[in-house]
Amino acid sequence: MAAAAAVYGGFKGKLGVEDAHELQLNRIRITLSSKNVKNLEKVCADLVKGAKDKQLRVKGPVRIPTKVLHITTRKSPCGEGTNTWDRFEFRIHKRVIDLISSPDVVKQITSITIEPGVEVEVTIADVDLVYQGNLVSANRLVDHCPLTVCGGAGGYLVG
Amino acid sequence: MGQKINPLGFRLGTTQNHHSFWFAQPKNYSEGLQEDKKIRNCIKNYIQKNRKKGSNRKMESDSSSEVITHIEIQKEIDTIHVIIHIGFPNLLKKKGAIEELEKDLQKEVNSVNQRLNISIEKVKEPYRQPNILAEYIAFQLKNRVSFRKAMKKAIELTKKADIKGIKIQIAGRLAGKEIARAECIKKGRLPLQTIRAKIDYCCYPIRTIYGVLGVKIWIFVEEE
Repeated sequence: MAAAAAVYGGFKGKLGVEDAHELQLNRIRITLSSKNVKNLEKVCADLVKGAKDKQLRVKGPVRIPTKVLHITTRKSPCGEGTNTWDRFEFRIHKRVIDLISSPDVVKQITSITIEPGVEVEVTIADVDLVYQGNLVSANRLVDHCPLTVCGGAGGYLVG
Repeated sequence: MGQKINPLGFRLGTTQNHHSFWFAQPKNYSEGLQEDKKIRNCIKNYIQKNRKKGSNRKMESDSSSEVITHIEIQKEIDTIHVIIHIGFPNLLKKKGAIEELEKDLQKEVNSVNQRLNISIEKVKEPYRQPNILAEYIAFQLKNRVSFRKAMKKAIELTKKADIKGIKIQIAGRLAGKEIARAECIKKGRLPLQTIRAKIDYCCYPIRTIYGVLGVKIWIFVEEE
């Protein structure tokens, strides 16, 4: 990380942008799970909209296949009678949204939309991409300094 | 005779909504359920306690005291919303009542992160709710009114509310007789097989000196 900062430090003067402030951008993965599709889709749409308003890069809601848990119980409270069983289902729907932004912005976005019955999990990837000036795409950075940045997380960045 | 499925459970996808609306991964689901159960028991105990206190002062008719229709629980990340639907909210409208309830619930639930948010909703037409009718019948039966009269009085109450059909069934040692039986009174129509029909159901046990009487009330509210 120190090596990376030093290399980027070199670029400071060369880029020569008006607002030369540092933005710490991380890859942030928001996982939404719920029993209820309507509320889930609503929260997804709100999150994506909120992120696009702030002009972040969003990887749209990825719909992971729904898990159907089968819960089979005896209907009878006692053991008597023909063995009748109830078959219930528990459907878990899951959506994944990837953002590239700083963590404070994400906290703003996730605090706005709260619907009951939807579970939200936010994981922040450990890779710190330090930009200066305008937003540069991750791929281009790899071209600049393949050795330093890709050290531990090369596969992740390219993918 | 065939066995009838609980009409609330039958209609859960369409006309009926869940009373507990939250999500948890299967690992943590049982804790959430236990919390729910504790909350509901706590609220019911609180109301029963206060009802006894109230009846010591004056002999009010119990039919005008509060009956909880249902308790909705919604859990979000940091708050638990508890919405109590009540028929005649007299007791709970007193000043300290809701805060007392909140304190009791906080003790029960041991919530570290979560705030409790209790709100009370008055039910619009109380005599359309089977729970309230069942309490009314229970009160009558405890005062040794003949059960058929009690059922007829309950049906009269519902005439004012807009109802398309009602069925009341009481089972057990009616009038203290040794041999138990089931009696029922029907009015209007009651399409139990029609899923889009809104049918409210309640099963309420009444404890008498002779044993337990089971009261089941089906109310056909409207067809969608």
